[in-house]
Amino acid sequence: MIDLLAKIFAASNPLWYYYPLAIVVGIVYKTTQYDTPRDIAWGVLHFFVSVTGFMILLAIALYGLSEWL
Amino acid sequence: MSQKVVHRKSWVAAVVLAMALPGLGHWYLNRRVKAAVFFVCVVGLFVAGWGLGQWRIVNNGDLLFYAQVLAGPLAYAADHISDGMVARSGPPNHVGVAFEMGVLYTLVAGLLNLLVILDSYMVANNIERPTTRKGDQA
Repeated sequence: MIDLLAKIFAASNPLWYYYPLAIVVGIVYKTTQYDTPRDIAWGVLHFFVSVTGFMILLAIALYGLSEWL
Repeated sequence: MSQKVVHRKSWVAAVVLAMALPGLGHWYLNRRVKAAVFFVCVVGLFVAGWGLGQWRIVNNGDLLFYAQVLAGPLAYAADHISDGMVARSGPPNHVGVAFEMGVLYTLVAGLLNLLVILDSYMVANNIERPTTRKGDQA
């Protein structure tokens, strides 16, 4: 089952491995921090966007650095 | 963090239960929904990672096991089954991204359970986290 899902999604784009990991980390972390489902949902969204955005910025910076060197 | 006061609940029992099974400490502290969320997330992530690693990536003796075992006795069961898989089908086939992500998933699951264990301690002792938003309801 897990192998099949991995083949369907992640074979085309390995980033599919990243999404569930980031979401689960966000859910657990924000569930320890907040109590209401609304706060948790917004917290998870904020966490996911922040981490993903930072990784994209880092990727762009590293790509630019590799082109420049 | 919750404003809910927890009466007559031992933090030792909460921590031991949280170590025994992800979420069980919160269940003991009457945080049933949170307990279910923690159980599904931690165990789900661990099993998904274990599966991605061809059911052979949990090995008592590896340095990685110190992080994986934070997910609780589940890691020992996975180790036992992994040993059986290796005996039957040979060592894991290092096939790249899926295998590496499987290892990462199990490690993160263990570390997340450490966070859950610490949270059960804080809830049992009614300790508020400094990052809690003002106005959060129990």
